Amino acid sequence: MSDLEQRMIEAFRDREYRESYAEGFLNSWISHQLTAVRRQRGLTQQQLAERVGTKQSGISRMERDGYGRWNFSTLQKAALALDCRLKVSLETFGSLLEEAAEFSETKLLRPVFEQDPVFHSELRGRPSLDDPGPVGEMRRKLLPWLWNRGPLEKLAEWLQGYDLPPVGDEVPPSQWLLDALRPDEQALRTSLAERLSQAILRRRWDVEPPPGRQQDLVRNLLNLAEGLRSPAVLGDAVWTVYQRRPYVCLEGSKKPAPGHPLVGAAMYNQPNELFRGFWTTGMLAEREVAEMPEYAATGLLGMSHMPVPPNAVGIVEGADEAKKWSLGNEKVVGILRYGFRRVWSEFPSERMLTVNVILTAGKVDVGWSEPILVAWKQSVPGPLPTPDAKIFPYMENVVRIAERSRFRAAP
Amino acid sequence: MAWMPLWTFVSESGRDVLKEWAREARLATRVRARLDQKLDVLRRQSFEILIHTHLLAGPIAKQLHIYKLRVDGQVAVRVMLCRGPLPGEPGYTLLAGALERDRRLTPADAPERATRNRDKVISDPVHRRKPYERFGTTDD
Repeated sequence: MSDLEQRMIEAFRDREYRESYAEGFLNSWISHQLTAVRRQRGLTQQQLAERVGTKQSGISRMERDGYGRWNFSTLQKAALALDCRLKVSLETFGSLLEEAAEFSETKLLRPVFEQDPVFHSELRGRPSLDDPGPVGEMRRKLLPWLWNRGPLEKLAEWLQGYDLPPVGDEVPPSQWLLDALRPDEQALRTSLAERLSQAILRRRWDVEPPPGRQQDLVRNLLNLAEGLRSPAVLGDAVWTVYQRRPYVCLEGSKKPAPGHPLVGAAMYNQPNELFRGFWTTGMLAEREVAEMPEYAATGLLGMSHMPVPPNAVGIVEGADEAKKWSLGNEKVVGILRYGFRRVWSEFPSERMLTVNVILTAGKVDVGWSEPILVAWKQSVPGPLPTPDAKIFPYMENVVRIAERSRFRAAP
Repeated sequence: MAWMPLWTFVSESGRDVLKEWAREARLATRVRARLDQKLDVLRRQSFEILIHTHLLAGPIAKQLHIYKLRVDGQVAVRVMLCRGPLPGEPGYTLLAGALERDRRLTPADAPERATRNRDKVISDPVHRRKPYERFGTTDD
């Protein structure tokens, strides 16, 4: 028993604690399951509301963790609208420990009646392993591995092209894994997505792949992430890895190819609209990505939690992030240069704001001055515009420090 | 699915600031239980679902990396937290606690504190955080 479970058991000995925990858990369970199953059915809140005979705002309220004013009749209607039955049962507090430990989106999902194996013999039991041909061979490798929760190193092997059906290398390894599962085998696909998620989160394989295969591993891992199209399961893992990983991270690669699967997978798996917007910005700037220092691209593409377009504040935040993460001046310059170019060409009305914000940042942290001026000289033609009078002293400060550091402002 | 890692911020003197806050705020056992339960959900669910179900709100205005864990009830508890925050790291770090009443936080500067604490974790992750321990029933 884990330390966590032991502590939970100790806390549950207190009646007030366990009763409050159980009430909160019940509310979480219902709201999260309504969300998960509605999405599994591909329904919007509005569509479910129409089936239940309520308003969209009513469904939205029910899907809110912490909502506790359940109406039995409404819940029953919601269950039927989702092709499920409602179950109410008295249980021991002990069983709650296990339920809490297994709480996850996949545990909450339920098949529709047509896919319930009890009523459909073709879905009963484990999927067939009798398929002929190389796809069947891959299936015979993959399914037992999924059922038995085989080691993640095996997945790494496959994704590097090892232990695949012996039919040449025209088909990429990730495609073999995708082909081995049928489109309607959603549970298996989710299971594979979960294992992949674990693999992405681990980031370091217990057995380091040979150098030549590192490239294949990363490319195929992300192709598989994209192909599984399971953003709810993979979103966190991909977000985590993309957060600040070296963009492309392929040895010897200086210029990421446009449309690289990294970008595609990242875009597809973004956990919400906020992030997607920023990735889209990165995507639109793809032609520029190719000429950016790859670590500058890392900084930009990694700032997925920035709810701002690439304006002045965004540039400063981005470069600040890069500094915090010790990416070094070269990369800070890359981000600044990219930002300057975009603002200068696409947001003319923001030019002065950019100057002001950046020079203010230069005042706050004198270490900024050098990268600011280098980036500026490399990206914007002509002299620095005259900033607002009130921040002029900051600019003087920047120039003075820059001169001391061998760098001069543009004449 | 494994439990997401969860850490809590510790002060310079090595004290768990969340536990200290819970003690100062005199959180009742039932509130602590609810808080532990929501933190368990935080560790089990995907970030997207957490945002969708409003268990997590944010990022908070002007504090780009800070999210607010909402625990409603007679006493509305809010825990300021961030993802990671180390590069490429899964999980969350709890940074500051607050109570909310009429949309006002007590302490009012909890989000700013959280940002400062996050910076401290980034600069010294070994000493400025530790694995989360349940709030449990008492202050041990």
